[in-house]
Amino acid sequence: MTDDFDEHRKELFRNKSRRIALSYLKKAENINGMFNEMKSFFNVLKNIFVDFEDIKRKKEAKLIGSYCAMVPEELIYAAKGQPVRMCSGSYTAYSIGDEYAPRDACPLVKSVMGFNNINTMPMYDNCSLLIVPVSCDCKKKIAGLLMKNKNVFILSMPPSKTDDYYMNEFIKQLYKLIPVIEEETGNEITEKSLFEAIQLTGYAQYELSRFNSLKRKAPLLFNGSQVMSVMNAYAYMNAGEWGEQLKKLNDEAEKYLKNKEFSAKENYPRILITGSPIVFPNIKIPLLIEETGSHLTADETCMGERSLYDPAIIIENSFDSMLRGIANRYIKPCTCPVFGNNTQRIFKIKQMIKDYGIQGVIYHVLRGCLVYDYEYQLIENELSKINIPVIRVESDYSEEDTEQIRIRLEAFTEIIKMRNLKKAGRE
Amino acid sequence: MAYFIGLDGGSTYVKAALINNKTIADTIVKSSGIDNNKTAEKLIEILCDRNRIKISDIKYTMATGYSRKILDVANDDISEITAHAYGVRITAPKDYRPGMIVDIGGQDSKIIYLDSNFDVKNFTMNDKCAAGTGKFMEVIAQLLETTIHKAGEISLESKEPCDINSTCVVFAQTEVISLMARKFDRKDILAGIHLSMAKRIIKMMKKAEKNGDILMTGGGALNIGIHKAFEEELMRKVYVAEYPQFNGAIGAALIGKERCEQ
Amino acid sequence: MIRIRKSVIIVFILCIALILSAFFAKEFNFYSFDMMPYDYKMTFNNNKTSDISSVWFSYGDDREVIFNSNSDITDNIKFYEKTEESVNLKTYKEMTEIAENSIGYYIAAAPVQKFDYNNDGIDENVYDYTRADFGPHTFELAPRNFNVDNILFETAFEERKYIKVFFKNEILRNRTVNIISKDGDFKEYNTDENGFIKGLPSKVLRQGFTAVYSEGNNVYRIQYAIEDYDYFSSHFYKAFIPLLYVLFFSALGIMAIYFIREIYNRNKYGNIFAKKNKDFNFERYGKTYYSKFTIIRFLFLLFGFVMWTYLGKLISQGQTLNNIAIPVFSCPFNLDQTFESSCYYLTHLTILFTRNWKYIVSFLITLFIMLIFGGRILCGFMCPLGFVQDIVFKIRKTLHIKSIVLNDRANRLIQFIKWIWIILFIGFVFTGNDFCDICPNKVFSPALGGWWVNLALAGFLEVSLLVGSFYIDRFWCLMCPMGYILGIFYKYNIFKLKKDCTACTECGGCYEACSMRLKNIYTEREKENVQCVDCIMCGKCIEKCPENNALSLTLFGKTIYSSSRESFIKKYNKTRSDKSDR
Repeated sequence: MTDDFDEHRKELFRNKSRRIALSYLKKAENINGMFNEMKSFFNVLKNIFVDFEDIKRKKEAKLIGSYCAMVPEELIYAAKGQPVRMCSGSYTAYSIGDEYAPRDACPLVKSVMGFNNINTMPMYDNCSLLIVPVSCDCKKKIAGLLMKNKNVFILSMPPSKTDDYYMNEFIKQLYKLIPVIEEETGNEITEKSLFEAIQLTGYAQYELSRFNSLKRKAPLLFNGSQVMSVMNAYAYMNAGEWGEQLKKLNDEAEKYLKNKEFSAKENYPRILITGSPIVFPNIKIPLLIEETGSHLTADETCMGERSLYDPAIIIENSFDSMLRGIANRYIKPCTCPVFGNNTQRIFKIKQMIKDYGIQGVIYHVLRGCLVYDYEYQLIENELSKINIPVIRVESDYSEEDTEQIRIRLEAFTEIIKMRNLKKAGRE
Repeated sequence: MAYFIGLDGGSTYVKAALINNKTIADTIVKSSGIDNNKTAEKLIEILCDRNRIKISDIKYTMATGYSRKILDVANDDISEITAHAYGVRITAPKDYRPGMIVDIGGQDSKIIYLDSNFDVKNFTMNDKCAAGTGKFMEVIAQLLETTIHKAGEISLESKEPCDINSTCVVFAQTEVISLMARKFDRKDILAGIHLSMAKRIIKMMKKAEKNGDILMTGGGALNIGIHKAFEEELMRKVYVAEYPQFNGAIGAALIGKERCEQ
Repeated sequence: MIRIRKSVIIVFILCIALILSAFFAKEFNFYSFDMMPYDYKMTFNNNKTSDISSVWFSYGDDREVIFNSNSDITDNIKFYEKTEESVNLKTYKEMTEIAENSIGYYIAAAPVQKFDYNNDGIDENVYDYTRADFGPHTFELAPRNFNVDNILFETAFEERKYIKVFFKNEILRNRTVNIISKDGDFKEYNTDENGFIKGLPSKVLRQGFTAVYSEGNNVYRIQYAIEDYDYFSSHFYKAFIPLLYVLFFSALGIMAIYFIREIYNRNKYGNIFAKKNKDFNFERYGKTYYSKFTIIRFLFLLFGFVMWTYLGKLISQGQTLNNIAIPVFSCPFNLDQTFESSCYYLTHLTILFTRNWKYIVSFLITLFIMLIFGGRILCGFMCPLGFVQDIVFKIRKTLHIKSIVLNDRANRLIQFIKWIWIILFIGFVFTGNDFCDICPNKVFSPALGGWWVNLALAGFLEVSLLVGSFYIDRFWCLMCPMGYILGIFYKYNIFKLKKDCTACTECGGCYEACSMRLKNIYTEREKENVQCVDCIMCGKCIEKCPENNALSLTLFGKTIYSSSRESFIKKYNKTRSDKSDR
């Protein structure tokens, strides 16, 4: 852990990751149906992954890093900090991280380890506090490894979502987290600031729900991989700014909708992607889906819709009640398979299939991500009952398997097209 | 008379099938050279010559296989999965109830699940590793100084198949060499190889698939040894398609025909 | 493990304490009015003259009964005093002191007068009586007529709403009786086959009236002053005293719990918890949004509260509806309630079956219609006690004081206390105890309506109820025996709570918002109908549900209110745009 990378190696690292990020950004940008207002989201990604800039934020705001979708951002915003999602999708960092993590560890963790050791990303370096939820085994171990360089708070997850006892334990932990954040940022979290923080993320959620209703339109308004980039940009932006920007995008999209200018042909298969996180720059699979002639309509992944979709339900404006609402928001509706009983995920997917008119589900598994792999069987069985084809795509951050995945996705698209033809014939 | 051609540009061979109405008129196979497109063109020419038809009689040419995108002679292309599922409609034995297709190709093997209407329900493919494919067979056959065509019959004579534990082509090769050094009989080694291939592919299958039968296609199905190994491992009857090697090409031609009719 | 045992023991002790204290409820004196007849003093006013009657009782302030008479007949008046055992005849002079064994029923009879009553030119014999009922026995169900030969015409207050008329100690059936109110309004009434005068406005009843019956050449008049006072008299205000006591002790209890909890939490969660939850203030962040449904529900509750407290009087015809039973927790000691709240007769079945069959039938039919088709929606929309709890809870919300969130184990334990209440509710019918002595709703409705009631254990329970419902939403409803009975037939209710199990994301908002801490709405994944015995259909879960149509309230299968993401998330947008406008 102590080895310092020399400047030369750092430069090589920068060049390589810059190249990869840029190529993906260009690929995503060049798909037809790019909206003008999407550009600023892409610029955020560009600033971070290509130009190696710091997160744009208010001067006094401290950067606080978080992993997974279970770290309450509201608490960080309430202390006038800037949360940033540290989960990484960089292949370059992944290859560096290979040295520190065991072979079978998932690429996300390797990538995180890589970034934390090479010290090239200002985003990682400027982070003073890391909040790591013990969601899966890999996260548990990186929490321990990160501790050597950084101030780390370990947030353990309740083993059961429905049991009140465990939820209360989780809320107790949040009470322990509060002074840690306060100390880091130097600002107190008060009832009022917590309320304002909830309003801040609430606004982003409001715009997201508008965005979602636009995404449901058939034919499709947005391209899936661009949507994924927009959602990824949330991790590196202030929630308020992100919301404002999304509002502009929504307004623009509504204009297009009025003029009936859709970015897609109607008969293209509508695809839902679920499973392991898809983190920029690893948007290989969304791009492949679009290339093979399907439309990525919706996603059920934690860097996508899931992290922001569920609103905090505040019963009353007392501190405790708000904190309960926040704790509930991050744990109870979370469909991450790290929870033992996670049957709600299948319901969630079924509902999304209904809402978005999904015709096929792609189940993305990052190599080494066991928890997601466990749930594949269940989801395949359940979805075959409602006649929705599912395909499991296992991959990591490298580009070597692109062709093999493409073959699978092409065949999958054909299956759906054949089905649609048959359905049309029957009618 | 309307003719349709299906081209299957695989990794090792290019296969072509000529379809006349609903019957298979002719098939042809040639090892894929540097330029798959040229090979395909040549195949079409030969097919036309043999059956005494004009190229203009061919209404539609459909390509499938790895190199389908570069086969310019074809009107359109389709993925192997769909092609195989279509081909089975006429190549499968009469009493075959649609359930599962095991396709053992040159460099990949795949399992396709069918519903009762021969429509694809789902599929799995091997990834990255070439074990359990025709290439694996070829390497081992070469090592044992025989050809892939004879290997099946040789292995049938075996009574005590060897245990081959390695799944990787290269490791299996080493293992075979050591078995040979220990003076094991060739037939036993081959039978062991067939069993290990079958095991490898069966691992990809879902055990829950109880409705319907298993059908083997692809070049691997020509090898009776593998067929028997499958039956032994699965402990149930395994069917073999009529033209296993051309199944993809036939399916592609059928799809082309269907598309024309629309 | 230790914690489980501790809480179980606490609940066990609470249950035992509740049963024991309930049996000796009368011994716990919370507040009692000096209501015995001997606390009254009788004064005489001989100078008054009235055309309505030559003798009449009225009430002064502070337990004073005033006997008024026309001055010329004073010396010849006979007083009849009823005691538990007998009726005593007393003279004018003996009346200055009220006997200790008196039950507060007095009749004064004036000597027969002869004058032309109806202006027909012939002199009639006019018999004038006056009756006063005061003291604690006033509102007994069964009438207590004097049954004395010399009293020819007599009225008695029965079933707390009707006047029963006796003539020559026989029930006067199917005759016309004229009623003259204190204000001089004149109206004809017919007695029914049971001798009842029905439909008498309670205002007339309260102020005292004169009943006139004439037969041949004889006219019989009786002025009847049941102890009762109009609104805004000192007597009326005095009824507030127990309520004020209750409120005072509740405030003390609330403060005590506030500090105890702070200490407890500091030990349990550390200083940070106490620090963050300490500041209670009136600050309002952003706008508070109420859905239309919430406002309608609140209006219903308010209407219910007013209806059960005052409306009987305001519309003055309330009594006619008294054989309609609506099973909510409202106090029948307040005679102004518009409908029968039915808790009284359910806990006093013996008294119910002394009533006439028509009453019993109409009571039971309306009760069962309400039970089967209405169900617990009455709790959420009608119950006056529910209204009180909602108000108290709302006060806490405005003060930003942390509520106590019961977890599922605490909720299970409360079910035990609920069953104790149910056993007491039904069991007291057979043991001869009076449920009203332990009923925690005995204070509000009667006090606000100006009715004096003595509080025994009920007062203490009311205090604990208010303290509890300050911190816990609908604290009483969690263990309400009446509510449980209402919920039994939930399967046949016309209102139903439905859930679309696929749309649910299990975010737990419904569980967090639920007044009754019901978990099944949140965890249910198969059935469409999530209603259960305990659901009061307050709609809070629907309001807090962020998923489209995940939860809905239906009437006859038609959705009348359903959750929607748009209406949920809307509030986040508005506050934002408000800010940017500034």
